[in-house]
Amino acid sequence: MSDEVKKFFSSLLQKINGLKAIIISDRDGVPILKLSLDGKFPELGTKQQFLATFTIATDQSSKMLLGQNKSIILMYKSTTVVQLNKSPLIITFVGTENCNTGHILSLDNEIDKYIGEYKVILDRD
Amino acid sequence: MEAKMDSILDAMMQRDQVTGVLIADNQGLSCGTRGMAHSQASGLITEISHQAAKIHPNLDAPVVILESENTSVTISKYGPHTGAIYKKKSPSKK
Repeated sequence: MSDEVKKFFSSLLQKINGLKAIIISDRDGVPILKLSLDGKFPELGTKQQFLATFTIATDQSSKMLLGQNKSIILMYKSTTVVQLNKSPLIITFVGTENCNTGHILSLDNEIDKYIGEYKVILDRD
Repeated sequence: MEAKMDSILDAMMQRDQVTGVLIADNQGLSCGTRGMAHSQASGLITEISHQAAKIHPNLDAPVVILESENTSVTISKYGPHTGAIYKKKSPSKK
């Protein structure tokens, strides 16, 4: 991914309270970009199997006649995971239990500006 | 819980010069909005309150007032909730 995109997502790690890591992956959970605050990646939220379950969950929840699913928030005892559906990309935010989830969700439109070109490339392939 | 939150939001909107009200939880998720307050702002409003509280960690979270030309936004934290009140600024007296 371009330096501009990396820079943008790195700045999010600094800006959002409690955010530990950001992973951009494809629908199968294969990471395209992995960024973390301290160079370490939390076990749970970064495994390929975990990332790929989002694809199934978002496809299933889109069948509830409420329109296409946009995001899923997972709240665990000590971790919060926010996954955004930017088909064919999945953007996963992993943070602490007190992570500012609302701030992550409000970045939806801004993220679109940066990843738009990659969505087009992946769609073409 | 929701009915109580709704009644608080409605009561706040009845006040003089209030143009919008927002209540968010500790994780920046919107609990309710009225008027010009947008639920997308809930994360940032919570963050502003959290950051301001770091100035004096031993004291309660301060009230933050953001002023623009026509509007002022008062941000205040009560327990697990953060509230924002959008007010139309009265024209200054000469």
